[in-house]
Amino acid sequence: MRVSLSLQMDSTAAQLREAAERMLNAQRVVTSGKKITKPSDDPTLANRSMSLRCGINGIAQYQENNNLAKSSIDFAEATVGDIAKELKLLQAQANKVTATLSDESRQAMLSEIEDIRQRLLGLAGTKYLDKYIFSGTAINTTPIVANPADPAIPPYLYQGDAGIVQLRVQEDEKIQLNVSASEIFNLDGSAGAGVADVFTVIDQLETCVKAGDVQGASDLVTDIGALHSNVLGLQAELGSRSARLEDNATALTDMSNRMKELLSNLEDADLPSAIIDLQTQQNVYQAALAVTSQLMQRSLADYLS
Amino acid sequence: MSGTFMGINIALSSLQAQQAALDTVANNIANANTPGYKRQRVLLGEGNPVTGPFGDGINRRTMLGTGVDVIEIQRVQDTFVDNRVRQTSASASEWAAKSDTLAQLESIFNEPSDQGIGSQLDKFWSAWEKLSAQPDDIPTRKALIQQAQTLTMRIRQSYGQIRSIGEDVDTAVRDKVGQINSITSQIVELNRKIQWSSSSGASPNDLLDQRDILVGQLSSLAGVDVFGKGGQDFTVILGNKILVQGTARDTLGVRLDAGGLQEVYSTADGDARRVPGGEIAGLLDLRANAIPGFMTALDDFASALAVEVNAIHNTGFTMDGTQAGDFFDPNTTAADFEVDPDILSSARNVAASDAALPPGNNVISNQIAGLRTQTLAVGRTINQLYQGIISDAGTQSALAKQYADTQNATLEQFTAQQQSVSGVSLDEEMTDMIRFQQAYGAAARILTACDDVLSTLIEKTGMVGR
Repeated sequence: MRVSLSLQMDSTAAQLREAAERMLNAQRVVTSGKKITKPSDDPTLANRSMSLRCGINGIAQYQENNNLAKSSIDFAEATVGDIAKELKLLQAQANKVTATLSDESRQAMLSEIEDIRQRLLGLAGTKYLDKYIFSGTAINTTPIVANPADPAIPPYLYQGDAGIVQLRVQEDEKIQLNVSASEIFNLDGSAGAGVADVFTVIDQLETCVKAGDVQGASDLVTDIGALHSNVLGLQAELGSRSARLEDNATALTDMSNRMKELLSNLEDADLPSAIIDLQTQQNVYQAALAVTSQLMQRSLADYLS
Repeated sequence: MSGTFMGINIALSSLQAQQAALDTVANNIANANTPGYKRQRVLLGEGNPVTGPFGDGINRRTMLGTGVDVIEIQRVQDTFVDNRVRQTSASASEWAAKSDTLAQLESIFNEPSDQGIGSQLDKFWSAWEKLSAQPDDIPTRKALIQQAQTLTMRIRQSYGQIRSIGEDVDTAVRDKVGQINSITSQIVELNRKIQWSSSSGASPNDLLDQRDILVGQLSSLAGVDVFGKGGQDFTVILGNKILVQGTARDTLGVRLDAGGLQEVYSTADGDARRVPGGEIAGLLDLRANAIPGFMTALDDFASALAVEVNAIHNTGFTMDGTQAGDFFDPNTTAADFEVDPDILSSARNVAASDAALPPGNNVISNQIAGLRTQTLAVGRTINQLYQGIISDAGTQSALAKQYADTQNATLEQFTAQQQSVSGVSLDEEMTDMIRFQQAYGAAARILTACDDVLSTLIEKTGMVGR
């Protein structure tokens, strides 16, 4: 092949350009730490990386929801537990009713029962993050209020609604956060046939205490027992939701870690091999420069006199 | 019949021929780096022989050489390789134009990253989830609206950037067609000069080189074919129509066709001209396919987002208990995508609830947040619709780059072949320089010898016994 000056110069320039470009690419991989920086570097990989990012972002939100739901449910569970304790105290009072109560002890019992009622009303109006937790979706409404009717039967009314508050904690799973005061205090009659709501039972107990009605009180002990186990059931329900969220949190973390690892495998450059590659390209480039500078200096003109 | 001074004439012819050859060497070295220069070569031939004074003139005659003649100063070229270079440069510049523009298009989206529309979309769904946790919280609602505005802004911006790339392409097409007109007018001018020079018998090498350069430029602009060598018969063909013939040419213009796309047409007959290759073909193809394709895809994505979110949002209720309207303005496309004015006017108009009053109801916000992973009627989620655009941009750009690289490599090979044939080799020129220099010296020496011989004849003859 005939080698002309422009051929020699152009192909040398082209080879140097290619070597420089490869070196720059290797350098870009090392400095960015990424195998690809734009979709056209590898369209399939870019697509998978975008799907993974979308999945990871989603999971981050589910984790946030999971934490919110768990703290809210744990709070509700503790509150429901307190309510169960009050009912237990109420049952103890009912057990103390005898036919021969002294005025003093009757007054003491009445005042104790009044305290329990007030504490229960207070617990019913519990707020979490400034919102009522037992009033369904009517989160700005006090759940239990005194019945304004006369005679007031039942003595207290549920003001909330039957709304369910749910949060998404997995792609296809939502968890219910709330339990309504109407269930807790049996205003919906869910504790069993013939069992009145908590506040009606308290009123009845007061009547029994005042009258020394032992038989009535002993019936109420059974009723309070039913109310108590109703509340315990709700507490257990909340507890199991909390446990599910606990498991879910672990699952989400696992999933997120797995996806991040996949993404890293897809996107991140293998640093040692990237550095070796860069080093190789640098050597190639420098060798090309050295050889070129040797060859380009010589022509026949150097030897003619 | 050889004369007394024939030796001088022969020496003179040699001096002149060697001089011409040396001048050509000088010219070659001078133009070693001139783009488009094809090395020249002096074609030497023997002079016409004459009958010498020897022999009997009937049965025995002698023919004497009369020296050397410069027959032609040739351009050294391989027409086949030249044609290959021209054709390959047309497809190389076509794909380079596509590859450059597609790379710009994909860089608009800035994906994969945590900053692109994809992440903004994820944050938008998360904002709905956050609203689910606190449906009646005004700051959460405002944060959602803000996120929605960021998302719509990014979509508007990307759409606008694609459109402005389209406008740049349009401008480029007009510029390039203008360049074609300017080049054809120069070719016509050169043809006139070439015709004139050829008729006087000279070979206008430098003019031919200039014309080759112009044809090369024309080819990388529009992919032309050429026929003929001279001034009058030289023809440039653009997509089966004559662009230049001798000293006549067609001027081209750019206009919008029935579909609103640019087309190249002849100002002479008003008909559209097909551009078979080159940069203009690449640009026109982008304008007809890739650019509107991405604009439509972005429109479809924005419209799917608006339709799906609005459909759920419409069934909800505002914080004030009234039936909710649209969340995204349904009268907008990707070009002016925006959150509905009602939503912008008050955060209370965002619907989280599916019933009139309960402030804690989050059914609607949960449903909208669920769109993140919900497969639509088209068989893909909204996120996947967007990922499809990016994947498409990446694939097209990668393909174009691959073609452009291949064509470029081929072009480099043919160019190397062309330079191997037509380029100037300094070593070769140096060798020629010595060859002709020595011949020149020898011819000069002959002249001296002839001079000596003649002076002997003139000055010494008839001097016997003096």
